[in-house]
Amino acid sequence: MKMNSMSPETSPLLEKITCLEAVNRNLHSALERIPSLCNFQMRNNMVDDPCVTFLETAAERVGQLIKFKACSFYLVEEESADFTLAYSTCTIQSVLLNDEIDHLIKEKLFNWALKRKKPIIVKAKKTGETLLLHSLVTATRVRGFFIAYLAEKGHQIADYNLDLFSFILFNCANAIESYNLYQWNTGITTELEEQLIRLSDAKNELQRYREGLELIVEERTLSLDKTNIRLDRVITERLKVQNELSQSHRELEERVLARTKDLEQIQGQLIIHEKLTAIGQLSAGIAHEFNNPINFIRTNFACLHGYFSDLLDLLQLYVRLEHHCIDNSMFLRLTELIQQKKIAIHDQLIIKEIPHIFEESEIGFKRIEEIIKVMRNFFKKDTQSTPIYFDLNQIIKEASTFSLTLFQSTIRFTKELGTIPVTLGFPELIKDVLLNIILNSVQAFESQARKEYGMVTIKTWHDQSAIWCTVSDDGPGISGEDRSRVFDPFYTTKEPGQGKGLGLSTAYDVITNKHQGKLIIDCPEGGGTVFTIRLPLVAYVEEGNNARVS
Amino acid sequence: MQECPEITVLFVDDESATLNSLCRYLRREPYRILLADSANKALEILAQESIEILVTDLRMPGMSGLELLNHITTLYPKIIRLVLSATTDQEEMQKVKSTEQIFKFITKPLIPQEFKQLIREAIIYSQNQSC
Repeated sequence: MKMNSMSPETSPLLEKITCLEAVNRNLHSALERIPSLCNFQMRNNMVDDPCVTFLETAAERVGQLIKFKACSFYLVEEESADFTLAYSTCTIQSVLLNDEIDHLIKEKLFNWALKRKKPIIVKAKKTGETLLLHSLVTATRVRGFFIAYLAEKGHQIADYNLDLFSFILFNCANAIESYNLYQWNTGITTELEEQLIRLSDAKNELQRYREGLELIVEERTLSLDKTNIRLDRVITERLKVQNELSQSHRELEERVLARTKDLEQIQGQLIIHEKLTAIGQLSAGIAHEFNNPINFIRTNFACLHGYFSDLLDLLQLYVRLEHHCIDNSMFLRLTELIQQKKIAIHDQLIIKEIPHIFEESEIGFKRIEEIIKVMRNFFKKDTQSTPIYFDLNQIIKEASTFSLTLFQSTIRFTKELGTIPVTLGFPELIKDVLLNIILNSVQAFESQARKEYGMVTIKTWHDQSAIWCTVSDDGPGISGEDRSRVFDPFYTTKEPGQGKGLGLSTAYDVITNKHQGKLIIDCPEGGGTVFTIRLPLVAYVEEGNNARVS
Repeated sequence: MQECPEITVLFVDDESATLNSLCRYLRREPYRILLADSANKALEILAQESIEILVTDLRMPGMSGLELLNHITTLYPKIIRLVLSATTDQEEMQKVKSTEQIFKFITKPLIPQEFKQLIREAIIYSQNQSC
């Protein structure tokens, strides 16, 4: 297209171009102004509320773009969320503007305007003024509201100015928000600092508390020390009590010892009782053996008594014969009487019998004497305290003689006594042992109700270290269970009242404890019971003048 | 007391001195006396002789008096039985008295006069039984 050949059609176009160029210039200048218009900087030396300053700045800058009679800024209160007047260019006008706001709210234009985020130009119904409205918003929230009376009616405002106006308010809102955030931040910092101070205080308090604690610990330590001392005292007392306990323990032991002694005494008494029981049993046998000879002696003596009175009668006749010797007839008569008497009393028989009577009586007396002698020997026992030398064979002879006397109708002995040396011990106790063993056999024989005599065989021999003696019988033997308990004190198969069962246990005690020997019971398969006694051989010493050698 | 020559008394004892003394003492009594020194001997005599009264010991070698009494009770129930024993064992005495019907249990040593009287009583008892 050619410039010089402008036609009337081209002139409006040219005008348009000129206009557009003007617009372009304006836009360009507007763009250039953006940085300065939108820069809201907070100054450190700000004495007033920076928000008001921001709003003042914003009003001034808006005024450069858009002519207005008066304007007001409302800000949202943080706590109540109410819109309150924060800044106004004119105090009087601000009251009117406030009324306008009330109207806008009533007509629900206010909320609409808030949401628009763009400049809104409306006609005020009451005053007829032109109102410029704009929300004060950031990207995230509503900060406030702008309201102004425009200066001229029908005044056209350039679009770019309106855009700049929006920019200014947006940045102002951001500045306010930044300030608020700054304030909030500062508040938090302060709070943190305060908390820090509080923490420090707390730390100090803790420190004090710790010191207090140390004090308490010290006090506690002191009181613990005191407690320790008390405990020490308690321990001392306890020890005392313990000592007392030990003392009473000792006393108890002493009492136990004393009691043991008592018990030993009782045991001794029991053994004596056992012995008495045995004696009681023996005396039944003794009585039986006594009664037999006494019986025939008595019968014989009754007989002798009769014979004697017979002889006395006869003697009287002879006396009368002497007196009347002269008288023949009398003599004859007496002779006759004598003859008759002789026949009546069997005088020849009397003469023959009397020696027998005396002989038998003598035997009876001798037997009684022997029994009494044996019994006296048996029960005449000195309690011997020290061991003496003795001949076992001699003891066996005494025991068997005694037993034979007592149990004449029950028992017979076979003795195979070897030549044995004397040994040291308690012969009377050994005799007891033998008698107990023999008594055991006698009881076994009697339990059998046998017809023949019970045979007891006693053997002795010796080797280098010991003297041996076996006492065996042909009785029924002892069952295994009884045999294992035969030496237990108070063990008896006898009926109650027939002995306490101490005989063999005493025998065991005598052989094993008093003589360090052995007493063994055995029942061979062939029958009978065998008691084996082993007495350690103690060499005879010459000086021993208490030796009992037969 | 009437003469009763048919009456025979048998004494049983293992001890001859006892038998002799009894025989001697009772020689003039109106009955015949027989002696046995064991129970077996007594049974032999009983088999041969007519015996009315028997007096026996208890403890004897071989057969005991109790066994003898047992036999007699079975074989010769009419014989009047007496025991003359030296035992003092109450149990033994009780046993004999409970198992055997005996006329009298006499303990040694006997009292001669009483014994003589007892035998007479036994004879009367025997005669009454047989009548």
